[in-house]
Amino acid sequence: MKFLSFFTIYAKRTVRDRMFFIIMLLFPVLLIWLLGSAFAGVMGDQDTDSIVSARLIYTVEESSPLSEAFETHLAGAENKFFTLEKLDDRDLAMESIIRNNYDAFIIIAADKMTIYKNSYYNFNSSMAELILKTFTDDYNLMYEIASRNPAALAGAVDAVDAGPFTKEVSFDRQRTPGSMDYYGVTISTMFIFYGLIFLGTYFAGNKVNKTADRISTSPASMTLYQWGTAAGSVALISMQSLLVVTLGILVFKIYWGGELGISLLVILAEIIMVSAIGTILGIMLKNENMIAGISQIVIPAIVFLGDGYVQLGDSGALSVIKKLSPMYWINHGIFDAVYLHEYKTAAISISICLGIALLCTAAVALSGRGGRTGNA
Amino acid sequence: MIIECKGLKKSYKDVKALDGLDLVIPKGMIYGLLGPNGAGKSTFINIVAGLVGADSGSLSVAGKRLPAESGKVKKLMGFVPQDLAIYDDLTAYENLAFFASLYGLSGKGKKEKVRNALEFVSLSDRMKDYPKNYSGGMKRRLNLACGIVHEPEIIFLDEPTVGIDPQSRNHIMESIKKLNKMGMTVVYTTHYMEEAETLCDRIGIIDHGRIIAEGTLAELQRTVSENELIFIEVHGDAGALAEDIGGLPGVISSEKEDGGILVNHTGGRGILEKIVAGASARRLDIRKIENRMPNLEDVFLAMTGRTLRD
Ligand SMILES: Nc1ncnc2c1ncn2[C@@H]1O[C@H](COP(=O)(O)OP(=O)(O)OP(=O)(O)O)[C@@H](O)[C@H]1O
Ligand SMILES: [Mg+2]
Repeated sequence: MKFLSFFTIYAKRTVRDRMFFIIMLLFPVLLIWLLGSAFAGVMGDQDTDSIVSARLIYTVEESSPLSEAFETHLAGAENKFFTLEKLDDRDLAMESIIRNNYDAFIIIAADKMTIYKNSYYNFNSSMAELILKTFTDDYNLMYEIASRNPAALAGAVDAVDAGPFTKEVSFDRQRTPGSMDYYGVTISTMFIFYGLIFLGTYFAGNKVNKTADRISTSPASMTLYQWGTAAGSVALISMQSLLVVTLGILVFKIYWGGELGISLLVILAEIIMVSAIGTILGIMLKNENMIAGISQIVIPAIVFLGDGYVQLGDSGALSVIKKLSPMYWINHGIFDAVYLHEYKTAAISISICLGIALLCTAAVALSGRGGRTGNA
Repeated sequence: MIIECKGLKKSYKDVKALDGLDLVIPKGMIYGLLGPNGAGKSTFINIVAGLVGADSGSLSVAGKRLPAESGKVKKLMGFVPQDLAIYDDLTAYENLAFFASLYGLSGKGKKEKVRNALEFVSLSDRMKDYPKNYSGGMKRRLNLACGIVHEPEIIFLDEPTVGIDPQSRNHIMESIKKLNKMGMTVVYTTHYMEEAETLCDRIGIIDHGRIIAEGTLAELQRTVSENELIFIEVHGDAGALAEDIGGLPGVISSEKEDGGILVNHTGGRGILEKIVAGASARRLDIRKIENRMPNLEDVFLAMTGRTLRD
């Protein structure tokens, strides 16, 4: 009962705040529309229903059972997904990749394959990666993805376990995220983060206006207060996200593939994390301004690193740093699921979000215990 | 005794907010805690409320030791904090309903208690309004209502009349009397001596975190002096009359003050008649004559050498 009181009072007070609708509903929709339109054509906004096949080149460094299998099963196969050409001039091949004449360059050694591709969300190079993955899965060997930077090359070796290459490489649709699709995801996940400001300032505000004191003098426990309120936040942001996603699908035709369920799970985990962060910030920080201030600096940084505004390159220092941003895992968890039918990133992102949420929950519990012993 | 506290101490760095507070409050009364700014009144209430931990000393409410057994008595207590503690973005009704629910109230019972509380502070007709549209006095009344909506046995009010208009102030004072008649024990802090004098059954005077005097108003007045004061105002030369009165038996002092004469005497019989006779002998018209009891200000002054206000 008391849990429900905390839950509903948070929802009630937050819904009455006009800023909640402006920031959580109006802004994301506007930004998706603005960025989506501004970058139309820059990203892979090809005609999405036409079939675009990946143009791959390969070279065989050393003849081996692996290269034989590759040539008979892949190079020989007729298909609409990719074309494979043999090009033995390595320098020329590299240059072609950089110039975007081809989508990926595959080097086949005796017991190892290396793929050089251009940017991650060039759909075709991602497809090349998938093709190789399927192939190597069947051969039980490691493959390696290198960026255009050959220095990234390292040895990954496993024995070739010969066997027929049977799996079909299948895609439900030839797609690469257009700018609307791209920002439909990254802007939605970005504004979820801003939800922590509402929860954080709620907790801090209750300290400032002393109503938290009233709660703590009542028989209701502070733990119940924190959980009930945080649950209110999860419910509210979930509804808001669902609305933004639905609007995106209806108005901007944003593509979520057949993977909306997975994407929503990723989003739910993010919402739980955001609510946990909001709770600990609201409990630790003294006033509302500090929370808003910190959030306004930290959130854009996390979003930037998470490829939220633009797709950062796959090489260089940023490509390493950006993996520290939970936003990176959230966005790519969704993209990988929707466009590559790859769920590993989604699973990682859910684990990261729930892990951070758990840490915050532990910190909240500890801060409560510290406060009480201080009262003894 | 519904509240007993012994040797309660609390320091903030080098400030001793409470310095060995001893206090015993009997059930069913309006107990006034009177003291100047910074005396430690709020600190005491915050310790009872569990918002602040005492450094040492013992405290019990309704026989339960605090803070160890606070869970058992939280329901019995209601707090009206010195600073407003209400939600500006919830209506008066919603504020009360929320705080009532924290005490396990729900459904019809909750509704009824909320309506009673609104009635009690005369906000029924404004219950659907947001407090941000209220006057200062109305906010204070809502603040009071939030502390009593669950009908506690003991209610703590921390300077509930600070900074409000006389009308709301009277309203609150009357409300407190009503609550007490309904059986609530009231602990009331103030630095207005008039409030303590008119409202409280017993008064503890607190200064620098200690009770320096305690008792009923009459008891406190007697602590200042066994002597009595008479104040007389006349038309004409008061100086000569003051000298005359000074020579009367039993008079300790007779001085010109506030446009009249203040006579301090041992309280012997017939002194008033002798003063009146002295005035008519000098053909002076008496404008005013009154028996002056020492007030709480005098008590405080006598105990500390300072006034309540400074
Ligand atoms: N949180 C705090 N941190 C530091 N000092 C404090 C704190 N709370 C109270 N004090 C100090 O403790 C002393 C007692 O304060 P308290 O608020 O109990 O006084 P009070 O009698 O309620 O005064 P007032 O009439 O102004 O409300 C004061 O000197 C005050 O400055
Ligand atoms: Mg105070």
